[in-house]
Amino acid sequence: MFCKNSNLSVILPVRFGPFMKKILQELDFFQRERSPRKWVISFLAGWFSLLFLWGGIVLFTDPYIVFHRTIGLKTAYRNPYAMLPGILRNEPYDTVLIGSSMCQNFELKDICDALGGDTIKATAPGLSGEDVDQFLQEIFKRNDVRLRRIIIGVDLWGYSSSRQAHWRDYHYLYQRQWSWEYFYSQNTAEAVFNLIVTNLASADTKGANLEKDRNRMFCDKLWRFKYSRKTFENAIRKNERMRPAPLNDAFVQNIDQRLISHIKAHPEVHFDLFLPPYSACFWSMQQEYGDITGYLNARLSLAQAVETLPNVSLHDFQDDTKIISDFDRYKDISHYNQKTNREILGSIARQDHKIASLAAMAAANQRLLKQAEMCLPYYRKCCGKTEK
Amino acid sequence: MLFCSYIFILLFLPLCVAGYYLLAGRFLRLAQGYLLGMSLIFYGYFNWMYLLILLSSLAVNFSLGRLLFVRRQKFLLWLGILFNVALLGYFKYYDFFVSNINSIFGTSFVLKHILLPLGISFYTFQQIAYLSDICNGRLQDRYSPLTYALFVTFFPQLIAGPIVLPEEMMPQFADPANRKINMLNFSSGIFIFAAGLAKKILLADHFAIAADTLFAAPQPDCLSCWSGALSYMMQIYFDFSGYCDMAIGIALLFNIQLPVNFSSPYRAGNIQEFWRKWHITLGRFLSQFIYFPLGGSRNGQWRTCRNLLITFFISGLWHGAGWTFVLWGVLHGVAMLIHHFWSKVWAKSMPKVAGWGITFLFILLAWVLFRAESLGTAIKVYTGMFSGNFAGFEVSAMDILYWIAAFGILFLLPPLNTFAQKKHANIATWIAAFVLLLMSLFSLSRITPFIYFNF
Repeated sequence: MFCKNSNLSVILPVRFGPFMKKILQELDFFQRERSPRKWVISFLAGWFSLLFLWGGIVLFTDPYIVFHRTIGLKTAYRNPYAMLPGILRNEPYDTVLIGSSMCQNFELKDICDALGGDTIKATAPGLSGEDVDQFLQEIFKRNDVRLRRIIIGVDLWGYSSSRQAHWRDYHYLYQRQWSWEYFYSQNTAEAVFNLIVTNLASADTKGANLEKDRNRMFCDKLWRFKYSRKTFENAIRKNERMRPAPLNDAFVQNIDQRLISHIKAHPEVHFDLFLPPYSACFWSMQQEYGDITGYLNARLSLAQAVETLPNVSLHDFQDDTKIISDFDRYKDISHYNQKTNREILGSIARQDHKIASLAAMAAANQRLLKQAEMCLPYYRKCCGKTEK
Repeated sequence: MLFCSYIFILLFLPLCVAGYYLLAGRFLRLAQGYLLGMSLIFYGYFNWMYLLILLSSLAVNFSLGRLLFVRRQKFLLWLGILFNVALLGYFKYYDFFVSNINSIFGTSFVLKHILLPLGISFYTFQQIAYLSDICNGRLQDRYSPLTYALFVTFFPQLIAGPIVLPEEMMPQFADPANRKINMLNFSSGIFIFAAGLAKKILLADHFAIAADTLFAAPQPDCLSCWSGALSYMMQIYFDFSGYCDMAIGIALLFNIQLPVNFSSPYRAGNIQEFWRKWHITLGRFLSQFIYFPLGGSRNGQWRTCRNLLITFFISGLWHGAGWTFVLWGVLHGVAMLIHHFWSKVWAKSMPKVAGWGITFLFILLAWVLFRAESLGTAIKVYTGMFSGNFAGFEVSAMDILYWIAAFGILFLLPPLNTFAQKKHANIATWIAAFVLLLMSLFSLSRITPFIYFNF
């Protein structure tokens, strides 16, 4: 690796001679042949000690809550993709909220105030039907008799699109078996580091601070956004080139396999499915570039699938003009503020947005279509386009 | 099971080494049986169905070998070669052959989409070498079925080489002196394994990202094409040489010395030198069993050219069932011909730097063909390389660091095989092995399979 017996010190200026000589002596120290026996024994001892030590740290801190709830430390709710399987397995709860970014800024306290119970949130951006299915499997594998209510924010596109790539990095956390990856991967090393940083940054690992973190679980970023008409219009202008994906043929089958099958299999649990109130512009965008008829039909399919099931309530907020036309509630074309969250929860408790029949959904679709048409000129204006 | 997986590094390898030496002290046969069993588990872990093919191939070749010991008849050797080539042909080339027949004659024979059994190209060649060595009298001793099975299935070299010859491996397996743990071999083995693992995990997999992006891009710009092609050049070297280093390192843990497969090939000053430094054991096999039997360079210029082209055509075809591989092989054959005429026939020379530059550039361009899924993709990249379109190219500081590290390793450090031959146990190798192993371990969850697993 290094040049032995180098004459470098000879050719360098005199004042560097002794210095270089010392360096070469040091290098020689590293290169001098040692006893192979000592080499091997010290290497194996060092290597296995480090593996065990690190394994112990991971087991104790358990940053993804795979083995136990966080002990004596403040949980760092940073990565929902990695933490949710562990949270669903090991945290105590009787009510679960599952959803995409549409549900991410719900506060656990608000859910508790509106619906009662001990709630946990399984929300992550880009959640697909496959993920919902996986979460439901995790929940029901617990066989927890206390479980009474599951609230799901249903993004219809999620049952038509495939799982997003970032979930693949954490596939091993979804397998209910001991995995090397959990102990010795870069993901876990980063999570342990995050956990330590979080705890060092905040000395208070008990009391109000801890409660606040758990209450907001995974939604720190969303809290920092500004919800106003101006932000909303800017976001539409900025993302004008984004095109909505049409729903595919597998939608009905996916809804049936990944959602309805769980509802049918667990009559003891009440399911509240709600259709989140994207802004009216979202529907105008569908009308302009997407497949609004496909979406409306998908809404009908969902209503039909749950119509006869006794343990499910379908709540539709997508045609609520009071919400979807009030653009001060939004930060972009679909994400709404916490005031809306509270209204949604209150409404679920009162059941005043419940769709009880197929006919009711058909009527809601008509209202939605009307809203989309009414909002279309405004949407075009936001996009910086002239009237067609 | 991959060398670069948690289960291999943290469970399989320690279990295998510990079990072997626990048994080898008293019961050498049992230890060899244990090693064979572990090798079969290692292979069957990918797909246990592959085991059936491997074991059938082992049984047939061993039986033919025994017959050849009794009667050294060319007929038996050809029978063995036919069996091995047929096995390889069926699993590797059936669909390629049928799809070409279909496109030439307009027929519609059904493709079988056969899953290529791992390592079949490697263990088939090794067994042909075994039969040939017996027939030619190079292998005199009759080794036991256990030693033979170990020679073929020894897990460090089973999946992607190096392609070993019976005369260099079987005496090592049979040697009772190898039953004791040799600390110098062990320390070198750990160091070489760690270095190979780091080559694969920390370098090859990083360069794979840029290479994959280039070959998937619809219309890449000029600089992206060059950097992507260079990335692939680095990827394939660090991937395959990393694998071979790991194999050599693991084998040393069992006191087995595997042949060196790489010796700083990108420093080669001409194409002939490149092939003496790249995949050395394949070059040795092809010379020994194809080029020399065809006559080598003994029967005039025309025969030499023919033999070179045939050898490189087979080399290309061996790498994969596709026209891009065949073309890659033929291109290298043509380059060898040019070199042959330049240096031997016309007896001309050129400055070393120019020779290195031309060789490096040729190898780079030829790798594009090797990597491309189709001729269309290769043409797309070649077009991009010489398009003069410089828009859209981006490079990060991290990429530059990787390039510096890669070129530093390629052109400044001595090749790792010097450590395999002249073993070292010092603090420098201790620290290097520890740090590289640790860094690789924490990056294991984001790896891609070895390129040469496909061949």
